Amino acid sequence: MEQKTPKGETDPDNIFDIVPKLLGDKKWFDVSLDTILAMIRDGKRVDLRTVHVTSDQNTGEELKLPLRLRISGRPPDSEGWHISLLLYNRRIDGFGYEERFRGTDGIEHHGWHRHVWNPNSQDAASKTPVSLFDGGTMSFRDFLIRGLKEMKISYPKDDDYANPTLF
Amino acid sequence: MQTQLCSDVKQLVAEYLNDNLRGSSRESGGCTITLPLKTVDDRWIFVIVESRFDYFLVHDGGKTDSSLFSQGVKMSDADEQFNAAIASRYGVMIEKGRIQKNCQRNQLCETILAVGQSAIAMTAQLVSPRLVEAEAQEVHVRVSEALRLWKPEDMVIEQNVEIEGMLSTHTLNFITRPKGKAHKTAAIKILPASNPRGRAERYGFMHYDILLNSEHPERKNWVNLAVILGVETWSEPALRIVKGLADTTLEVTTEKQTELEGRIPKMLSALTAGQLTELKQ
Repeated sequence: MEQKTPKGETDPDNIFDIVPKLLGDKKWFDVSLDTILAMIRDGKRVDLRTVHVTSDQNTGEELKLPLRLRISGRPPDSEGWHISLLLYNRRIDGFGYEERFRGTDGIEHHGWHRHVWNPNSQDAASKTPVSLFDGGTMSFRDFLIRGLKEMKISYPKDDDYANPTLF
Repeated sequence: MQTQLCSDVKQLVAEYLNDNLRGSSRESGGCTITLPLKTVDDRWIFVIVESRFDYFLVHDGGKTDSSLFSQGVKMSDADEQFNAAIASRYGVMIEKGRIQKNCQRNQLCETILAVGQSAIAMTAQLVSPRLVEAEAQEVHVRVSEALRLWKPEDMVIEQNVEIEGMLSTHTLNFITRPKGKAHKTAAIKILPASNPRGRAERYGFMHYDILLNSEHPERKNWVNLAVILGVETWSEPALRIVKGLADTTLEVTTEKQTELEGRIPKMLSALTAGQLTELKQ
């Protein structure tokens, strides 16, 4: 019989309890924007990995968390653009577009949204509308710059600083 | 009476479909049609229609591919072949991740539906048991990553290790070998959710066959970890076999599969330190 953790307590074995803290941390992926955009232009999906070091908020213990940053879509079709941040292959944050979706406020929306981490369901399936990408024509570069900044994800300014072995 | 019922239901369905069929202009040209249909991941399907000379280009904007990828689907060759087969069945194609088809005006409605239906069918892989083996491979990669982060300095980790038994050769997903005597060697086997009884019996054969190879008496001191995927689908007898033979098991439900890496470091530390009692608690 699986033991349920009482409400309000953190399950010491559940690594996903760290997600709210992790989302607030600054994260680093060692690949430049130009390299990402070149891959997208070539019709590839971008899958970057990093190990993020943070500390457990309860024990202070150092944690090494494998993060993946996934970017996909075709530049001409903004409806298919996605950025997502995954911990252990589970999406914990991200941006996308839907013609029609129900937001966390229960209201139906249209357009760009952010995937919101839900500590109870332990996923980021919920969506909340964002105006971050509104206002005029937006390029894929703009989408990345604005989205990654909002997700507190940094990257090297050009390829001279990037480590290609991380692909 | 039945005729009236059918008529009423048809009317209701027609109203629902009509209410939920939406169309909007696209900034970059063309029109986006939102269909009254949802994907497995609870998204309303939309299809883009662009007018080109004397024909129409109908596509999904790469949304389906991109959405699956963003949710952690590996998009391996097997995944892409699966998607291509679905597209082909609906008479559409996938071009650089975009489900699409060119058509004349008189084929427009059925083409829009075909693109939409393909998109929906492709999201089935988010819940499909067809991908059990691919899923096991994905788990292998994730366990590998967890082991890499856990690995103490005096340990060596080998992957996909072929082990000669007395009668046959077996493949273990991982072996962690200590450089000194502070730790024990751990053998890790990932058992996917399909055909549990067969997998359990195969695990039993492997276990004894490896031990019976008299050229390697040191294997008797190995500790064994079996990672059981989709444990809710395993029968009690199948589980009993694996639990009876492995020193410890890591049982993962399909729903909570993504949490397994978080449990591995502590389990491996205890297992290789010979603290089996702690694990059994």
